[in-house]
Amino acid sequence: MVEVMNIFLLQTVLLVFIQLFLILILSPFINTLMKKLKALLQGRIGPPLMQGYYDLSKYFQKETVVSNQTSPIFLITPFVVFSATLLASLLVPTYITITPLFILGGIILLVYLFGLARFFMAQAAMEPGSGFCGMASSREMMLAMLIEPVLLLSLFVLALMAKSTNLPNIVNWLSIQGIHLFTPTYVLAVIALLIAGIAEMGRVPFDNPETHYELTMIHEGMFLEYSGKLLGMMIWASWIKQLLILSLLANFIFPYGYSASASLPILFTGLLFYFAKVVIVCLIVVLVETVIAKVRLFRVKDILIASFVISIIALVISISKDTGGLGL
Amino acid sequence: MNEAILLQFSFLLFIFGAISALTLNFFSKKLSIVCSSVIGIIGSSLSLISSILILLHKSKLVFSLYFIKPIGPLELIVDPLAAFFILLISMLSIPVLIYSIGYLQAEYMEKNVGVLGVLYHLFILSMILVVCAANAFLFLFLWELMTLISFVFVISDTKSIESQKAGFIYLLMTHIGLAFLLFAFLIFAKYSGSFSFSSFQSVSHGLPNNLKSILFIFMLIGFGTKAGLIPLHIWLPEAHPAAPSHISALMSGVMIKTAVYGLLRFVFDFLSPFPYWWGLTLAVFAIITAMLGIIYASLENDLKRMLAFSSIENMGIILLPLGIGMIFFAFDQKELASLCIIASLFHSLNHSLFKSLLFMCAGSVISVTHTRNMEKLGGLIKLMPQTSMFFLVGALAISAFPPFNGFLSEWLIYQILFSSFQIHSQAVKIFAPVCGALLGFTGAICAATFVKAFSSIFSAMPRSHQPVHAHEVSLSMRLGMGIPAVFCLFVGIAPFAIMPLLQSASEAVIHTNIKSNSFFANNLLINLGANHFAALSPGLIFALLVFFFTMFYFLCKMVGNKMPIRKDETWSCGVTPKAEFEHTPTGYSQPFGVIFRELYTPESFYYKYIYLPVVNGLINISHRVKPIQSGNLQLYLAYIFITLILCLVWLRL
Amino acid sequence: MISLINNFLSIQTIQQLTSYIIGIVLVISILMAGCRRLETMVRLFIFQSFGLVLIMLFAGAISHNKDAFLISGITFFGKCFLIPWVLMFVLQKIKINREVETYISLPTSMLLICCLIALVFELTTNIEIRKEVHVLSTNLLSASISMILIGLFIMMTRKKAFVQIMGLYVMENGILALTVDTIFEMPLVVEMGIFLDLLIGVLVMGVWVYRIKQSFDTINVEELRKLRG
Repeated sequence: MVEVMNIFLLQTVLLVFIQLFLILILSPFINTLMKKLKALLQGRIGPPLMQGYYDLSKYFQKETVVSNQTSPIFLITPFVVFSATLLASLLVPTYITITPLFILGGIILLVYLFGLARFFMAQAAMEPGSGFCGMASSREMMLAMLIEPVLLLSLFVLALMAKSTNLPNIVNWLSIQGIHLFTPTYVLAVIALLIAGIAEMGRVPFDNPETHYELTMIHEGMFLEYSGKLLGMMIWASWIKQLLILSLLANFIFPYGYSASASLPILFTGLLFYFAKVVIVCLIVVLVETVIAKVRLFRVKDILIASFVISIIALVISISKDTGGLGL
Repeated sequence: MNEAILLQFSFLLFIFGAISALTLNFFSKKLSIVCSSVIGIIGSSLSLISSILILLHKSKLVFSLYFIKPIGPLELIVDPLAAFFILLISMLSIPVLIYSIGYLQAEYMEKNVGVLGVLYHLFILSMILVVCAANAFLFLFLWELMTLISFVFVISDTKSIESQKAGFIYLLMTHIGLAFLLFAFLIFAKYSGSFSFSSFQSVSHGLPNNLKSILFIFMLIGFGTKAGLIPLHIWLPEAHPAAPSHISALMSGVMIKTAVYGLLRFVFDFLSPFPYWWGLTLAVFAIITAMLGIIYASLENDLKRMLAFSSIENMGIILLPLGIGMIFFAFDQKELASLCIIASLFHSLNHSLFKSLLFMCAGSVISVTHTRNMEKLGGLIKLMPQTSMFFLVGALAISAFPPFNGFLSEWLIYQILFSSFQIHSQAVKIFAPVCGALLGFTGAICAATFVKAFSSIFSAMPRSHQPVHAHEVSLSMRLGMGIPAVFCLFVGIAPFAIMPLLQSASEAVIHTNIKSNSFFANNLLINLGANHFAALSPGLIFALLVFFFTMFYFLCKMVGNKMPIRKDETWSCGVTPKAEFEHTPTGYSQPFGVIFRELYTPESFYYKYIYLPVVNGLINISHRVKPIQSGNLQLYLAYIFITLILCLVWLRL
Repeated sequence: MISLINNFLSIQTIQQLTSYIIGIVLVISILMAGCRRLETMVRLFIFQSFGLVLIMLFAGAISHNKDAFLISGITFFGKCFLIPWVLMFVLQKIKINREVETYISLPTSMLLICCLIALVFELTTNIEIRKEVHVLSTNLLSASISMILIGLFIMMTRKKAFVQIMGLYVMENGILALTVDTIFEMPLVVEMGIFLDLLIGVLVMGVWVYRIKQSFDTINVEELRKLRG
């Protein structure tokens, strides 16, 4: 019995480390990849694929200057944000249908961990007393209140299909459905989730991660007063978050090709599949970015409400299918 | 029966505390404050221990006071449900009393602290007795006592016209609620022939269904007024800020929870079985309350008013699982229903912890800066580091972020909303997930509201002269804030300490125990058939967060360039930064105002479309009736005289 | 005490005595309604209360109810000493001892009250109350209801605030008589409550009358009509 427990524990620890390693290493690469893909679509050459790592190492070598108005909260925020995001990464299934710690929590914890990170970011942005940071913070919170219900509802619809709020259970359920998966409910929910995911990542048409003009920045605007290592931590955390949402979307859109067991070659194919899926989702996101222009701040509401409505329709259809009512 | 003795002793101590507050006040104000508070703390501790014992033993205490023929036995019955609310009251009254030692000395030395002390003790005693009362007559009497004492606190700032007005609205609204309760009780009494709750319980099956629905609506209005259910909430944002801050903490933390007790007791005990639309009605009102409450809070710049609006929101969140629980109960899903009640009680507990913490922090800030306007504050984190940390804990807990207690109860609420797929009603199946999404919506607004509040009070530079000379508050005040802050974290990490108490309380409402394999307290594991599985391990979350935090913090210190951090002024386009450049609270909430344009209905909306029509109608009726009223005393007596004679004649016929 | 009374008086004697006392109490009520001097009214009230105290004692003796002695003791103390004393005090303060104008002339009102009593006795004889209640006299119920109505009548036809109070006390005495009538039913607490009510009432009304006198320079309640919106 003890032996079994030990093996279980060992396996868990191993999975945790693989997951953390994967997410930490992959996230700068995926961000650069998106930049590269976008550049290629727009006819530019784009940055080298290793640019993310170069950036990070640069940040960690720079001097750290902070505003003299700030309190210790400003200094601990990057670490709180980073640990919350990293904890979230243990909840998201990547190359294998189980997550390292299935007992940790589900979609609700995921959303609230992002919320925790956002709370500290928004608070830290108010610390230096700069007008630009404050504006970004306020806008970020406004976007968050629009995104959160959409994200939750679309995840809820998917969770209701699988009857569990734990992400591994949902993904597992999706992966065993085969061709029967593509019901109207599923398609609509995934579309709503895609919209919410793009908004949560802070990309066009909701926010532009590449802008460098203070008045238009939302997510990046909050880091204005950060520099050096602290900025590096903040940016790395937002890359990790981006990767998490991308993996979530990838696993919901293509719930196939997971490693079934822990043997090495199978794990390897799982990883390959995972990478391919994420790249495809990146391509979708980048395509959307290239085709659509950024919308005005207060028009964001309309898009997100539309997405909310899509989720509700998905919900209604799923229920009518269950009970044979409504006739949809 | 140890519990009984402890509880009786605590009652005596509260009375003794009240007397000592009054008498010692003649010698020295300070002595009066300290002595009465210490006695109160001992009394609260006794009732706390007793309530925990009752909850653990699942026992039921009965104190018979007197038997009066037409009213029925005047009894106090303490069952686990009542004990849970006693736990809530006494658990909060301890830190609030500790806080009040310093707070009263800082703020109220020129006032009559003796009377404040007496009222305080009676307030706590009346709240404890309200939840024990097992007789409608006694219940209403104590309910009224509780209201009147809090009314005195609301108008205690005798110079301010605003607080007088607030007091008037408070008194008016609570009495409208009381009238509905009274009416409901009288209908009950007519059918049962007695005012005792046990007779109500036995008569519940004999009531006609339509009458039961009417009774439920009366109860909803009566208790909803106390709970601040929108649109009956208009008194709450006026009255709670007007009271002294430690009383606001109690009013928001505990007093409005008695409405939850009332609904649990009356709906589940006396009106069951009931149709599911009752629960749906309650849930719809609750989610509307939660949403609108927090939207108003997000746009508010008065610190205490903002907290009061957030109390409205949280009452919505507490009543939502109650409504859903009623739906489950109506569909005979007893296990899920009791889970709902656990969620509701859990959030009540959590809300009392963090809301009283926040109100006490607000009191500290106001006592050193003398302003409630967030526009005029700022920069306090350097002057009051500990208070700001406590406020941060409260803000994180109320925004329901993971390592704190608020998250656990909201997680439970999400889970029960999610479980609605087990119910055969399409309306509920659509309503519940949408409710979940809206709960997320309120959560996000709540986070925004508290980022705004925290940052505008504590961060950056002071925006007026008032916060410049602020200083850290006295030890007792910090201790008073510290205890709930620690509990917020403790409950958030180790809910297994609380879960048995909650389960015992919910078993008293719905007589079923949750199967051990479907709900584990230690890890919050829910496994409710139909492949429904959800898990959460708060301890692990906390441990991992702390682990990651320390690991990366020290890694960062070691790797690369060393971290002697250079401090320099904030970049503001080359000009020396000033407080005027900051983003103000009004500016912060401006985008919210824009997106909630349709939802944001100012207070006057309720007056204009709900209250004024009623008032005008009443005035019209009284104008019609006026001719009968000559103003002549003798004529009125003649009316009575004639009526009496007619009665006699009628008797004879 | 019970045995004392029972030793000296047989039940028949007690019933006869009670009937007489009831008659006297009713006559006193009529006299109060026809009384012009305020001081006399208070004195009459004392006698009336004393009569009731006696009735109560007899009732207690017959029914072996100890509560009755307590109530009669309190009543004796309160209504024969305390309340009259307060009332006299108020009278001295306001310096008015006669009532000149009334709505109905005093002799007429006395006549009307006689009719009233007749009516009530006619109407109430058949009210069904359980047997053991009528231990003393079948007339007690009718008498008590008449007293309540007489009190109301006094309040109705007079103008001075002070007399209104007296009317109220006559009414209360009626209620007290009713209590005696239903001595097995009405609990002690209720009677105590009513008594407390009155005690507070007399204090409040004393102040009230004094204030009216102060501000309107008269104690005519008609002046209150000005308060009407």
